Order: sequence, then C-alpha cells, then structure tokens
Amino acid sequence: MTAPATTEKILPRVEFDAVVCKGCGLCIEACPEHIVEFAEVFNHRGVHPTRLMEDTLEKCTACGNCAVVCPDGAVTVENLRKHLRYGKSPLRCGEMHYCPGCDEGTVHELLAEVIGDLGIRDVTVGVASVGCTVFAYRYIDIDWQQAAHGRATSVAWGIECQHPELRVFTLQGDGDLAGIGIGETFHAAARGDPTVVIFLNNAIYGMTGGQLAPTTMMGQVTATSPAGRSREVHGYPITMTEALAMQRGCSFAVRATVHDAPAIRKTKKYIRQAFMNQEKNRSLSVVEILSSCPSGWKLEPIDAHKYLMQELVAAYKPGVIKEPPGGMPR
Amino acid sequence: MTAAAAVGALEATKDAAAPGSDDGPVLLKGCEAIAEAAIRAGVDAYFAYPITPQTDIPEYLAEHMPPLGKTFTQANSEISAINMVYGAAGAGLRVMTSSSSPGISLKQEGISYIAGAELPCVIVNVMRGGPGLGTVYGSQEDYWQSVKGGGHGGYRMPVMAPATVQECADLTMLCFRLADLYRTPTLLCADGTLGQMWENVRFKPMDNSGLPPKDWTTTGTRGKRKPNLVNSIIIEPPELEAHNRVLLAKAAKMEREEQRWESFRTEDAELVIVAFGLTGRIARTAVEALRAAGRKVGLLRPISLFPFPTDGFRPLAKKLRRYLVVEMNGGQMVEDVKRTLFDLGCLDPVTFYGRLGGVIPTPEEIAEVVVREFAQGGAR
Repeated sequence: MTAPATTEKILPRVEFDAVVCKGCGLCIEACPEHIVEFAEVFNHRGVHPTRLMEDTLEKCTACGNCAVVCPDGAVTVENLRKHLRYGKSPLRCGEMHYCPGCDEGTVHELLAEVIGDLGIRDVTVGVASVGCTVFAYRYIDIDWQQAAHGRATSVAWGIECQHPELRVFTLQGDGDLAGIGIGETFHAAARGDPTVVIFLNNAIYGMTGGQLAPTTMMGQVTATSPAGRSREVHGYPITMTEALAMQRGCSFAVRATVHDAPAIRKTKKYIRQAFMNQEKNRSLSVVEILSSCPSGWKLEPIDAHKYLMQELVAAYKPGVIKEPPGGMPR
Repeated sequence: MTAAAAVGALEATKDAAAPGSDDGPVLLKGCEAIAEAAIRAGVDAYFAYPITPQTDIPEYLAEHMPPLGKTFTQANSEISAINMVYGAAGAGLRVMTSSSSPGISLKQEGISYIAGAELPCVIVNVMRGGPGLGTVYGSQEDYWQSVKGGGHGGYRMPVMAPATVQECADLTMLCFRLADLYRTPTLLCADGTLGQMWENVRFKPMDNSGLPPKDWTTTGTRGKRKPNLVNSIIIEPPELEAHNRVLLAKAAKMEREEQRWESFRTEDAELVIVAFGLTGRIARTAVEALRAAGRKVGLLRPISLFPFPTDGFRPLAKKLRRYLVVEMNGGQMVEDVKRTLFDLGCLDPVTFYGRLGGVIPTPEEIAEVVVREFAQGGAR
C-alpha cells in the first residue's frame, strides 16, 4: 500500500542528550522558534541540561541550529522530510574536556564532518598543539600526533614530507600559532607546506586561565592586562592570517567566526575549501576561526558569544583574505 | 672527493640490500662521513639549521639527498628542525638532525618529547666549547648534557662517542640501528675537531636485521587499523609512572646489552687513562709513548657514553691501579668513572686532567701528567 499524498507535516526527530549536555545554553539562544529551555533537574555535571519544551515539536522547523551550535554534540535533529541530519559526526569520539560553551568542540565537529564528507579519514593525520587543543586527539577518530607548544606546523611538515598521500592538518590556538610558534608558522607559509592550518583565535590564553595573547585586542582585559591591553605595556595585537597570506607559499587564507549557526555553517564551508585547496594547490591553507573563551573571558557562554560577535568580529573582520589561484575551491 | 662520495652514495642506495658490499676506502671529513653513513643507512629525511662546526653535514646532505628522492629541509631554527624530526619519526621515517652545542641546547625540549613519545631518530652533536656562544673550536663540554638527559623529565638515550672518522661512520649507522631497535632517540656525540678531520673511511653495510615492525606510526589508518597516536602527554600520574617505568626498563636493557668501549694495554697497567672521543685518541698516543719508555700505562676509552661501559672497568677493578681521567672539559665523565669504580667495590684513586674552552691537550702534555702521577706515588 503506497502512502497517501498528504500535506500533513512530517515531524522532525529532536534529541537532547541530558548526560552529555554541559548546560551552556547556546542552543536556547540559537533556536528561532524559542522552544528550547533548561530542564529543572540537574545532570551528573551539576548543570541544568537543555531540552525541547513540552508539546512544541510541532513548532520545530528542523533548521538544525540547536545542533549546529552545540559544541558537545549533545543535540541531534533529523529533518525526516528532507532526509537531513544535524548532530554529532560519526568520526567524533570521546567526551570533551572543554568548558561549557567553548567553541573548540564546535570546530572539532566541523573538522570531523569535513573529513567524513570528503572521504579522507583513512589518510588524514591531525596535529594537536599545546593549549586547550592538547587533547584534540581524543575527539576525532583518526591518526594524530601531539606537538610541543608552537611547533605544530614543523611536526606537520615532518609527517607529510615523504608522504604526499597524507592529508595533514594542525589545530592551533593563538598563543601556539602567533606567540611561541610564530616562526614555525611563518616558515610553513614561506616553504609552502601542504598543511591545513586551523587557527583558533579567541584572543586569550585559555588553558592557563585567561592571560594576554598575541591576538588580545587593544583595551581587552585579561589576567595579565588587568587594566586592558595598552600600547605602552603590551604593544599591539598581531594580525597573523594577513601576514601568512602575504607569503607565496600560502595559497588560501580566510578568517571565519563561530558566533552563531550561520557563521558556523560558513566556517564549515571554509574548512572544506581549505582541505580541497590542500589537494589542489599543495601549499599552505589557513583558516583562522574567531572563537569564544567563556572561562578565560569570565563571561557566561551566551554573553561570550555576544562579545565574540560584537568585539572580535568587529576587530578582526572575517572574510576571504587570500583566494587560491583559479578562485575559491568548490 | 665530494663527487666520488656522491657516486658512492648513489651506488650504496642502489645496492642497499647487497650484504657485505665493500666499497674501497674514501677520504672524508668526520662530518661528511656522518652524512654519508646516514645516506647509506637509508635516512629518509634530514632537518637542521646551520651552525659551526657541523655545517658540512647539512651541506653534504643538501647535495646528495634530494637526487635520491629524500627530504632535506633547512629549518628556520634548531627548535623547528627537531620538531620536524618528531613528526617524521612519528610517520615512520628514518630521520636525522645535526647541530653543535648551542643548537643542541635549543633542541632539548624536542628531544625530551621524542624520548617521551618513544620515537626513533639520530641526533648528531658536533660539540664546541661553551657555555653560551663559547667558541667554534671542538670541545667535550656537553658530556653531562648528553648522558644525564639534557632536556626535562629524566629520560635516557644511547650516546655514542667516535674517536676516528671511521667511527663517525660506523657509529652513525649503529645509532640508526639502536634507534629502531629500542624506539628511542640516539645521540652521536662527536667534537668539532673530529668533524673537521680528514681520514680514510670504509663504509660497512647497514645492519637492519631483527628490527621490530613500525606498527605505531601515523600514516593514515588506510581503513585497515584503529587510529595511532604519537604523544608524550600522559596526564594521570599512575599512568605516567607506568610509562616511565617502560622507558626505564628500556634504559636498563641498553645498559645490559649496548655497552661499548676500547681497552688498550690495560691488562698489566698500573695507571689507566680513561678518555673518550678525541681525547681518547690523543691519550692512546700518550700511552704508546709511555709504554715505549717502560711505563705500565693503559687506556680505557668509553665509546658508549650511555650506557656507560661499566663492564670495561670490571676486570680492571680486581687489581689495584690508579686512574687518570682526561677530558676537554672541567671534569664531567670523571664523575661516572668514580661512581662506576665505587659500584664495583673499587676505591682506587681517580684523578682528573682537563683542558677547557676548546684547548686540545697534546700527547706530551698527557704523558707529563702521567709521569707526575707516578712520581707522586700510588702507581708503582
């Protein structure tokens, strides 16, 4: 018996994992229908996990924003009509050590999705750097090397120099890439190593508890710039991606942001293009991702994402900085 | 000369599997012998930064590795170079870096990571005088740094000290073998004078027998295995303790099986000179002269600085003698000599003679010290 033609709405499947949820509330903020809320109960982490409000599934448009913004892969949305699924990539593994609302988890998810989409899992090697990404190897189910602080691009070159078939990427924070490792990063761009550099810029040292970073903005308060970053005491921040883009060995440079669901979707596109450029142009591809550090910034996750949008995005201006020869990869 | 060596390198690669292939002797500098030995050992990748007095190594490899399809990278710093070594070793390559004392200091963080992650590689230190920028002249002032774990965290690795250009070649190949055998960084500890010295060398075939499979490398899962991880962070103390005990057990195995030394006329010696590397070879000349003059003097030359050749001292310790340790530093290996003799229950007197800052002792100078030792009693 064939299903009768119907205009009746096919309800999406929406699942909030109350155990994985860290209670950051980003999904509440991301929902255009305002149908996500904190539960009254606590989970084992001592936070109120989020959930869909009772009897609101009808209102859900299955846009997937709640799943897209969840750094921990705690939300799954299936659009059964369009056969679309939003949520944790099958390449993701492990429970993340990141603080509630930290964008590192989101970037892991994007990386896992892109590696899965491009079908390159078996030949991909990640390089996790010192900083909050030090345990990145726990979260994407591929080969990894953990690098010393600042040295990720040098380690990457060691991996790929005799293995042209490998797809090597680094995951680096601002202190790692633009501070202690600026020489390594710069020379990877000068040599034109075929590495994808994922550069998380949250303008602060996260793991050590919120000190001034090379990318801390003028006036920004941190643990080591208590009166705000000043020219006299700290000097100016570094615009690293522009500097890398000036080198001939860097063929692709973009600055992305992950302050909301549309921005995250765009960031995924950029990461995908970076991996495509890696294969096509065999030279450095850089994706800087402006991201939040709620713990380091001493802000609630939702406020941190507002700060990200209002301050970092204004200061650093996302967009394509260097297009590869022949235009953006498609 | 360089061209002839290049031909040799190409032929060696072509006939890498030919056991016992015996090329005629070639005249090479110590640094070139190290570089050529690395090529013949099948080095896949070499990363370094120029520094005197070892720059002949990168210059030689820059010429000869790329035509073989191998990686030669002049890194932006020694730090970068050692981290390229980490990445490449983790990806299963046979890999080497070289530098000289201040550059080796820069590499120490990376060496510690490599030791922690158990990655095989060869590090060459063509030592010069320090501390600081010191001098470009040869020295042995990095003994402590070499054998006591120059980086943080208390690791051990095989350290080999050549005294001839021939040994530069042989011990480079041995370092590659031990690196793979034990999954460890290894250090070839030459000095600036040896690096610049010309001598005939006869290359031996590389011994790759009995090496364990590299099933831990990060070369993509290829759909055939679970992901591999190259890593030195183990955050839970009991887990790190267990890991460090594995490293200690490896070091203990090296101590049992990898001691190397040269004994020269020690059997009846009333005074034994202990000296390594260049100083060992100078001391040998002194011993020959002293023997000709009727003095009962011998030489014990440690070749492996770690593991320290305790077994070389064992037969000596049974009889009363004096020991004179000669080094081109302020007295570093002498501590290990004293400790070793003490461990063997031997309380014979140990004295030290050293030249510092790149000054090379002459055989006559060493002989004079020995004669003085005899005059002061003790030795009969």
